[in-house]
Amino acid sequence: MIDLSVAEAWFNSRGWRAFAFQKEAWTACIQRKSGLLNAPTGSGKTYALFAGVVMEYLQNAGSAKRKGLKLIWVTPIRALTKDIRNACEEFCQEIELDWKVAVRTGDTTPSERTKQRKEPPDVLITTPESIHLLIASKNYQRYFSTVRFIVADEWHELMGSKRAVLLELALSRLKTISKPCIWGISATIGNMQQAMEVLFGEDYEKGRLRFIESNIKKRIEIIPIIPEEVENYPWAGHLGVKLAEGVLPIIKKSKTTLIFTNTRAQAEIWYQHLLAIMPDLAGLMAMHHGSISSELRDWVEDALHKGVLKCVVCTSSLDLGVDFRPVETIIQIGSPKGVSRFVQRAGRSGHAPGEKSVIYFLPTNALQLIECAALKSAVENNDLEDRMPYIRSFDVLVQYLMTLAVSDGFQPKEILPEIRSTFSFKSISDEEWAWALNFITKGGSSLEAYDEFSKVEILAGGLFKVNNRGVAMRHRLSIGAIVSDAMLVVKFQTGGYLGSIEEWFVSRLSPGDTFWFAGRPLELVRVKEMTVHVKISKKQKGAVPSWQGGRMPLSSMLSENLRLQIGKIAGNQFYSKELQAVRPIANTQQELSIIPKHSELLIEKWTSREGCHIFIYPFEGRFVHEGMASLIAYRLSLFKSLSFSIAVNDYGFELLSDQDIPIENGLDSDIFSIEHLSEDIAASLNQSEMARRRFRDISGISGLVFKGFPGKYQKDKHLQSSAQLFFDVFRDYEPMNLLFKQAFSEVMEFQIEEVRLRQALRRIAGQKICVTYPEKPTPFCFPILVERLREKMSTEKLEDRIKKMTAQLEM
Amino acid sequence: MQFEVKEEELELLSDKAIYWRKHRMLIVADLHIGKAAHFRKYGIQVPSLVERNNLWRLSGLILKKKPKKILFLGDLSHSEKNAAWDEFADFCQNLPEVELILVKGNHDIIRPINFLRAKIEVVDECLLGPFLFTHDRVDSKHYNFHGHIHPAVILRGRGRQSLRVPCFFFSTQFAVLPSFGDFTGSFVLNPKKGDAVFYPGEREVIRVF
Repeated sequence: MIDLSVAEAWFNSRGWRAFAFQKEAWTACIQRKSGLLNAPTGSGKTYALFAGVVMEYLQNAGSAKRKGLKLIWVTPIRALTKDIRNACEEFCQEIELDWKVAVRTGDTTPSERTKQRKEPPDVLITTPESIHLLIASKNYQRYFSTVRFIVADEWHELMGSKRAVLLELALSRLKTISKPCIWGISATIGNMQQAMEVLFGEDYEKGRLRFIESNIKKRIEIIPIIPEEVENYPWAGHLGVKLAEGVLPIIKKSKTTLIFTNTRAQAEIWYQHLLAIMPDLAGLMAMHHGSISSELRDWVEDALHKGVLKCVVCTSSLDLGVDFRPVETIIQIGSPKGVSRFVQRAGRSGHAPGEKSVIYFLPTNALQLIECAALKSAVENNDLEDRMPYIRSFDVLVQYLMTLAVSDGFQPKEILPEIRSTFSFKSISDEEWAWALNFITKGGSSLEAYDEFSKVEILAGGLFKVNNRGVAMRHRLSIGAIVSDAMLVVKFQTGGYLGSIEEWFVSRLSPGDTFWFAGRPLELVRVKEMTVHVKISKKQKGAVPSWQGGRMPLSSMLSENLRLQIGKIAGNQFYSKELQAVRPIANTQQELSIIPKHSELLIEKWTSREGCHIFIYPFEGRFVHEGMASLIAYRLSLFKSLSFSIAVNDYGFELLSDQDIPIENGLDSDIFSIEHLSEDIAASLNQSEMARRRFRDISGISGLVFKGFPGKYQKDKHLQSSAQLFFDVFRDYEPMNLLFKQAFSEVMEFQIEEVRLRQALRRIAGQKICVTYPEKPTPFCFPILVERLREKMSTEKLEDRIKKMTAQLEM
Repeated sequence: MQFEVKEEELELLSDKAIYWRKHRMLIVADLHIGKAAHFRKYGIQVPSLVERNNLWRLSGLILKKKPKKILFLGDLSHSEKNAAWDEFADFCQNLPEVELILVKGNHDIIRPINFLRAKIEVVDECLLGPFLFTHDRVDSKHYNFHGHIHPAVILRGRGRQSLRVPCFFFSTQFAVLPSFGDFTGSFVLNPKKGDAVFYPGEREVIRVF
């Protein structure tokens, strides 16, 4: 019989009763099983595993009880670490176990890190990047030799990013070192089984893994915020501040409200605007996003716990895990883009078991009203999205091999089986492995006699090791899979640290200019090295920095629900409040063009001074549209050489050309066909710039482009370059380079989502295609027309294009 | 493409160089010899063929134009001396008929003896006819030819087309040459009225402003 008395007694002392899933998890831990725990936030998932880990130790460690690290708890975001630490410490204290719990993230000070190395804590709460930093230090094997458990918290969140690949690789190493039990904790996603497969790699096929479900279901009520006069509802736009009046009564009547925006810039703007229209909020409102300093974020989180804040404007930085009991109400500004994210955010309110979560949704433009209806039906049907795992990320692989080489070095024949045991690299061939080793030792395919390439050396005995201290230092500084533009630190002249900001934004400002950051108007004093010195500005108006990377596509689950709702509008079925509100705009669309039925695909053709515009509306989400747009553009350009400017949004896409676009010919010869799809996509990719953009991340992760870290100025100017340059030289001189090829396969899998694209085309094959020729822009096309971010595609000769163009006169 | 500046006839070449027939002089800027090798030495995997291509293009130009002089407008070398530089020095020593002049650039930090061995005369600036040749722009009563910034220009056309391309840039006071090297970035210039801008295309040089 398994003894659960320690945890049960502790639960009893608090007047709680353990859920069945918690007992199940405790038992599994004590039996030293590995597995996945499927439980939502606020369900007691931390105790389900932590208490199990502790009891296993008390019962099994026996004479093996000794100093050293016992549990590694991996979380995707820093905001979670403190909560987990508190929970663990509290538990240990009350059962009188003298375990030391430490946190190690990017925010941890160097002195604290040194301390953690010298005297390892019993529990380390950390991120995937920080584990790699530990692997990059000398004698890491001894450091990890006592680890009994590794927990991957919020695994669903990690899984859709390259950080999961980082964790997979780290686990493959740690499994060899100390054979720990591994547990994932995941909210419900569409591909639950695959989530396990990715986490466990080869072990998944061996079976014997446990899958524990919490069975806690939450009811969610979605309330749209719709103004009285919908006639003036904007046709486009993502900010929605004009509709801010609508949220004031909600904030007033609720104890604490979280307002979720999709981007950091939007958060800054909303914060500023709410303060302007409701000055009483001064001191009671705060802002939370990933670029704000950790001190500020900590302060906001503490204040949330204490219930002293009326309202917090935030981004996905507060999406996960953290449980703030005083939060009663959630407001989502603009489309959440996915059902899971929306449900996740709704879950920030209504914590007590059985209580329902209430979330208000503020659509920022007319078409988002339809999205609101779609969200409701998706939530009702529990249509949760899949998280796509990254596979064969060679950039992460070469980074990992470097990490091993800068610490104690590695023997390829020992490491390869570990790497092959991961989900990401199970298909790596001997040739690809040889390429990776060659890349870090000889610098690629070159056979140059005079080459002085040096990075990893092969020592006698076959050990791959870095001996050059400069190489090692640069590598340690660039570990991590999260890549952003060069970041500058924002500091007050007097010294206070405010956060970080992207370099390209700062480059547009001059000293004396005002910008909004961390909810305050700041005047730029000067930029020195990697630091932006500021002081509080007296002006209230100023630019708002935008951070790149906030563009999520509409998920497949949401888009199918959206198509159904649009079909309802076409059939005049205005049943819900949201659809009622759409009516005036729907009428305008109907007058100028048509509203497609569920069985129809709408194409609008319109000629303006700019040229010929084709709008196609598959309602499949931004990413699928990007792929479809370049595919259709490519196929159309087979009729004649054309240059296109392409804009997409979640509803459709636009092809714009200076010449007439022969869409009618295209439809006659079936441009939506799935025949020769892969070849045509590959051909269209070569003409577009999508792969080039993907290469930005890849060149950063693989160490080709070294940017340094905020606050650390890059001294060696002679090693400066850009991802763009590397993309060009690989294309021209080394097109078989696996990193270069990876850019294209990432576009296929994540950008274009080839599988979804194929499904979409198959669906379109069964649809009736309706081409209309509106006299002016329709409500459907307007948001795409004003989209400024544009993709290019051309099959014209460069010199022919240039002859038609001129340089712009300076304004 | 022929272009007249200060009554001097210049030939703008597709290979991002200028040929001044009157003096049988080839003018090139910013080769950054040894840049790829420098990156490789520090463990960054730039394909080393990049380095070779610069040399091939330069020798092709020499064969085609048979210049008496080549004027390098600075940043001939990228950083420390390395094997790529040695190869370039060999190449230079085998050009006995051609006079080589370097207007020193900020990247030209290798020891002077290396230029000497490559038979390259190093100067701070070079005045010839109406033109003052320097690496970066200087205030001068002469018309100033320089390199350093690797100029590019953004072209726009109907249908929201846009392209960023390297260029030759002529204002009324100065002219900027595109960088000759392959593995170099670029900086966008905005032309004003009275400027002339040319794109060095693969088959021809096209006036774009």
